[in-house]
Amino acid sequence: MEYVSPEGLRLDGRRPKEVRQLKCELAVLHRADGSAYLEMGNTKVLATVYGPHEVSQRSQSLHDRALVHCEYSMATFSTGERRRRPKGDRRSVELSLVIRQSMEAAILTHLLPRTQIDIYVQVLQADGGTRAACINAATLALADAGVPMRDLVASCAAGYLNGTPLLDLNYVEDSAGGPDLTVALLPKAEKVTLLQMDSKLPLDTFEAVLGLAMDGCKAIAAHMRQALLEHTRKQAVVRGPVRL
Amino acid sequence: MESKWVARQVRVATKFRKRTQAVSLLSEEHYLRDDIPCGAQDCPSGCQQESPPLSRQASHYLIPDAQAVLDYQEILELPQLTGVIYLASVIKEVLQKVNQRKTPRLKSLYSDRRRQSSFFDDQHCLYTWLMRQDYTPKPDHPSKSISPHPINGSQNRGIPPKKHGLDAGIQATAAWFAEHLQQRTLIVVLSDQLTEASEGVRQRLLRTGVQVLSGSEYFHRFWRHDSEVLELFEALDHSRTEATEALPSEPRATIGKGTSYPPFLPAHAIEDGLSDGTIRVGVFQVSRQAPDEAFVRPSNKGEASRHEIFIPGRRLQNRALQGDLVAVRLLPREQWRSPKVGRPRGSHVAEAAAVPSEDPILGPEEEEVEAELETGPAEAQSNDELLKEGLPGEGSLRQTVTGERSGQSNGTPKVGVGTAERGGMEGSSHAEGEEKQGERVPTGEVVGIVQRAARDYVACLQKDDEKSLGSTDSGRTEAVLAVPMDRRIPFVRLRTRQVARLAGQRFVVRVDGWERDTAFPHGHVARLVGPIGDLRAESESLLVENGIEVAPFSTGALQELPPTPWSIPRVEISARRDLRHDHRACSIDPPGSKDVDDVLSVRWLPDGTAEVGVHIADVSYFVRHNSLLDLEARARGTTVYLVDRRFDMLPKLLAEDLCSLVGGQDRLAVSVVWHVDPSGPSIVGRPWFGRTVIHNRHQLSYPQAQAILDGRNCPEVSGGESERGLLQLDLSLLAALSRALRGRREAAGALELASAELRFETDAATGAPMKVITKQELQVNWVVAELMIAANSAVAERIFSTFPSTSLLRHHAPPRPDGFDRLQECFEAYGLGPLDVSSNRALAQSLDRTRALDLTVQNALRAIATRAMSEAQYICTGAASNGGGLEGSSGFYHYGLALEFYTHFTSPIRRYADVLVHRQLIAALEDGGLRNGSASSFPERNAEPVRRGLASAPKLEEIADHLNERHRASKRSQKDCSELYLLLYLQNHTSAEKAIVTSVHPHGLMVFVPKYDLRGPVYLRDKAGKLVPPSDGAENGAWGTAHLALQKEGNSLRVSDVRTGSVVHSYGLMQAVWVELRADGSRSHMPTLKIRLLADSHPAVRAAAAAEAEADFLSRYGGSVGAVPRGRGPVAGTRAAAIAAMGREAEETAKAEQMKRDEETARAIQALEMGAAAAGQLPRGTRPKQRQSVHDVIESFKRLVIEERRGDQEVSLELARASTTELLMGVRTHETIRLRRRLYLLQRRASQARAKRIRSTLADTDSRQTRREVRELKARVAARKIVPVEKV
Repeated sequence: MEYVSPEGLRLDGRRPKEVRQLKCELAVLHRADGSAYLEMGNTKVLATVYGPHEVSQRSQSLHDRALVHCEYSMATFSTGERRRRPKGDRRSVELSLVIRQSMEAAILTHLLPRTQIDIYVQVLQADGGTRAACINAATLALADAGVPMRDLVASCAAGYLNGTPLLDLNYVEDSAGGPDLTVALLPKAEKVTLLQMDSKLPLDTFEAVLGLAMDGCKAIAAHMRQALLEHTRKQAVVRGPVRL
Repeated sequence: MESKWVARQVRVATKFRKRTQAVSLLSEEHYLRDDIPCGAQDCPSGCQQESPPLSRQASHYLIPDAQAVLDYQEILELPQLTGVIYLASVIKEVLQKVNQRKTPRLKSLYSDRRRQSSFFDDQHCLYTWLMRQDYTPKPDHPSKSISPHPINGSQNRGIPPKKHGLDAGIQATAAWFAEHLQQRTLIVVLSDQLTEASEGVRQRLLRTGVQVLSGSEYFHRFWRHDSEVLELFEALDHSRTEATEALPSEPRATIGKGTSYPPFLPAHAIEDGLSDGTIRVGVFQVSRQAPDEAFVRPSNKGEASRHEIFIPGRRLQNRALQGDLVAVRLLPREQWRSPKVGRPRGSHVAEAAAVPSEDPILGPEEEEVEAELETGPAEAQSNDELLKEGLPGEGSLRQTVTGERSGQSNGTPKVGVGTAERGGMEGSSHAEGEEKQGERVPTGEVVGIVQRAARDYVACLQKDDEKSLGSTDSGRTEAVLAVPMDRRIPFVRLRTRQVARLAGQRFVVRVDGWERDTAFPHGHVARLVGPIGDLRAESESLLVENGIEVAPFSTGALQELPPTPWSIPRVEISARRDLRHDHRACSIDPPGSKDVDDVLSVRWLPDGTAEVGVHIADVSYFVRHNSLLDLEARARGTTVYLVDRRFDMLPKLLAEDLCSLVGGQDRLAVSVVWHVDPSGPSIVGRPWFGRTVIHNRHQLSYPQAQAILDGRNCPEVSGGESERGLLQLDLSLLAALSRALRGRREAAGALELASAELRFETDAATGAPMKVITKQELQVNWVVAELMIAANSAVAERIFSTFPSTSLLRHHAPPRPDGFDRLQECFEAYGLGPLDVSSNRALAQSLDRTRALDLTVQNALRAIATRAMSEAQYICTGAASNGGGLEGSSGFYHYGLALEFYTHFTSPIRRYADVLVHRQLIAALEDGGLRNGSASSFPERNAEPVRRGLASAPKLEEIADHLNERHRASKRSQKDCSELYLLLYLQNHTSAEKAIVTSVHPHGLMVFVPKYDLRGPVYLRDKAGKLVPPSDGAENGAWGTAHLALQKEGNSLRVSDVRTGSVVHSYGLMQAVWVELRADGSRSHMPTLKIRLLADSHPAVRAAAAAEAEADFLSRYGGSVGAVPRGRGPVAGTRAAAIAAMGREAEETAKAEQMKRDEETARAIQALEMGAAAAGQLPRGTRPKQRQSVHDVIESFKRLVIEERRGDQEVSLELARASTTELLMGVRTHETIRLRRRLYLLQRRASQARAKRIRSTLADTDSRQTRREVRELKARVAARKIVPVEKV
């Protein structure tokens, strides 16, 4: 099956280096300390952050830094058929761990000792690139919650099909069986906090795909920063006249 | 990462999942953009595009809709149809309706740049989407279609297509195109879906500059001048309207007297059956010997199982054709039948893939022929008989097939194969009958066709048809039956207006379909090939049957050639290494070859070492990546060499002049240079690779080079004695080097196998073959071959080291061990000990033990070994099937040559793979120069384009598969063509040939004729069960009139007298016999070879035996000069000295003297002949002046055979007759010379042959029988009244 047409268009009309449409909304849930709703193409993700608050289990509190706790779940209606997903299944545990580790690298945990930060990410609709969308949503939610961070964590997925590196795979391209690389990046410092790949790639191709993914991350980071600024500006207006 | 898409849409699509049988909704997002190029050259709206395909000069651009693409795909594939725009929505719809296998053909319609057609993604173009809203009819119009464009493409099969009238999307796109191109070029929409209601739309579009036409309107308006297009359109049109009409004049193929074919099961029922296991899918193979019997080898996930399902009779076969992928259902056990013709032993037949694959080296037809020897030739129903029978359903089948699945066929029935040993079958072989003693095999019926093997078939009309219909010239549509050349395909019904045009011609037929109520499939004529019997037309038919295109080069490709006169540009000389002056270069090729692609050179260094260079024509400089020339060469894949013609891969200008390294000219080349130490000799260090300029000083032929190497005088070499001496020195070094290299390979296990190539010398006027030449192997052949192998191997290693995942190598897999069973038997029969096939080294050592035997036997054994080998193939090292190249290079070992890395590099003029390897090497050098620091230090001028031009792994894999397939097709057609010429030659030049028995069967023998490298069956029992004794020129054959029986015992076939039980004659494995080769065949099919045994007393045998004895003597007593690989090599040396050196018994010396005398007389006669010919007074014998048709020739041949049976008496009579003419004309005619010589030789040889035979019969065990034989012999001698020279 041809994933890239001879003139360089993919199945959904994008070019290999184009990202899907990115829509973000902040502060969607007012009960939570911070929340964000992110859409990457058809993948819709909702992230909420509670914290920093007191550690719920005393034994687990760390004396010098904050404890970050993450939970990932997929709604039963998120994929094509409704499927019941048990809470502790292997995939969601793995993804929770992955998101926690990548966020922990960015949060300035030493500023908030003996506290806990909870991140809950829920996938409402999955269409490829859920991992990346979750991390992006979590970043925005953390920013909304006011948790101090080194930098935004931007994440993007890339793959290699029909001899071309492709950026931001959707579900159809993902299930083609080619390699799928997810990268989470601190864009200013260009530091990678997450690098995951399945399937295999020769080394020279890997470099090309990684480079592409990192470029995608930077583009997404720019977009997220823009969204954050917009949101802040709106907040400022709402809260009262401000001279900017 | 600026995203340039402009808008986003979410569209809902439905998806049908086969496994769960569920329909699910998909929400797909589509991004609309405004930067999709239109594809037209010089776009008035200024589209930014590189190399747009649609030509500026085209009169119109065509936009077909989905139905038009399906219907007229063949016309769209014609090269004249250029400037077609394929829309993404149209292609998507077509792909849904068409099966998987046709997809590459469809894709090539727009991806092949020579067609100047483009692919336009209208689903993602912003403008067309916007315009579609204008064109979508409003829902309140009841007559128009209300369904939107099938972008929400239903992938399920349950929902029927919903098109009425012209599709809105296409209208919109066409209108947009017209606007975008500012009405510069006419846009034509091709659609047969027009209804009256769409008239308004047509008018509207006409105003915007778009014409909407139906098929016939379009082709008649725009292609009136091109008859090929019009004819094809007519043919397709006819075949499409066929189902609806029925002509009254249809003679045979009407609805028969009774039932019709059972209907196919619907797709879901087949899938149910597949998941249950009651239905299996496999390739439908028709038996060549019995075309009404077929077998299906069900495949399981792409791997063929070892068991076969037998499908006899047309009803059970249910309209399946050879090569189709069919769904089969097993019948209940009591309905199983047994085949008339045995099947080959399951273990020998190669495992076929699920899709029809090429013939493996162990050709299935050979296996089938062997199997037929087991069971006896069958009274097979040919298509003629089927014709009289009409439709299936009456009488011929006793068992009826029930429609419901019987309860016994649940699950996977245990399929036991009863084909192992059929030795129990006696000769009786009548059509059906449960009294058959053969074993019943699993029998099944065809319930559906998964994929038709669509192929072109060459066919002709039946003779009686032509006679009756040929007279009607009315132009009325007639229905006729075409007989395909391939016996496995049934007749094809054609409807044509011009029957007269087809009479006596071979034409190409394409099958369109097969309805339930017709006896034969219907099809249409694609084109004419040529008259039946015309040699050129016959060879072209062979090409078509093997799938080789013979069109000339397109003008676009020819325009890319550099202008003549061409000389090397100065910038190239400075950019390359100049080897013109310090390397002495010479090329060695077959005499008369014009495309010289390799040159060898030596340069002696002052320190005593030498530089040895192999220089190959630099084709990649002239043929740029993805140019039209490149695409054409890639499509051809290789040069096809037929006996009389050659279909070049590159145009003549390149192949014979600019690329070819002709003598005396400066040329561009790609070189491999080794530093060689002459003591050894051995290669020092790593080879140097790079682009060079060379000057080929001496363009030599093989015999000339051999002469120089031997130190003999060769006047054609320029430069005189000193030059010749230097050349000899060079050649000696090369010979020594090649010997060393070969020795190394042999130690590693290289195999020396028989190469099968016959060359024909054809008569200039008629093209008929005059002489058969077997390839002569000189020492220099080996030298050149070994150096080429070394160059190929060095280049392979180099490109693999730089591109481990995308290099094109050549891989030879080790053979399957069970393919050596036959060779094992032969080894045992000769007492050569066990055959070790564990590794190539072991096999080579086992084969070496055969060197002690007779040369003929050696060749036979090596030929059998060659047939067990697997095929060497091009592979892309990064491909998934080769382990992705990541687990090391063990997957690319070349078994036959015993090399770790091998590729094709040395013949870019005639092989496309070599051109690709050249490009990869150049690219590797650019990279390597920076990494390794050892490669060329000369800057690469064409670096960028070459690097960009390297294909990625999946594309390379595709190209490698394509090249493999082209190579196979070319080999097959070469083999077929040489067989055709051989048969033609044989009828003119019959003689007895020596053959070796390679296997023994109840009904006959399989023999191998080493002179022509043929393997064929000899039937000792014919269809009626009567014994066929060897011919000896007399009536009853060699075995006399006694009542005899034929029986196979172990490894020999014995003919014994029924009454006395004594063995008259026996044929054992590896025994040498004399055979006669004949051509036989019908008008519609290709002639086939028939082999008949000859008795030793046959006159032709006697003549041949004498000639052989002479040749044997020469080879034994002649000497050979120079080190030649053992067992082979030229025969040279003075005979006189050799004879003098032999101090053997007087008998031998006397024989030698006699031979010499005979030789001299023969030579004298020959001189006379030649003198007479030179005098030009010869009437050219009885040869007809006009072009002989193959079939006339066969007829006359049959007459000749009868004539041959006359003995010497007749010959002398004839001679007497001819002598009178001679006296009258006063000159020796050709005829008389021939007869005279024959008589003379016969008389001379008769005595010796007889003496030998008597001696051999004396060696037989039974003395009583021998005495009787001797008495008979004496009686026969007396009857013939020939005076023997020596009294016996």
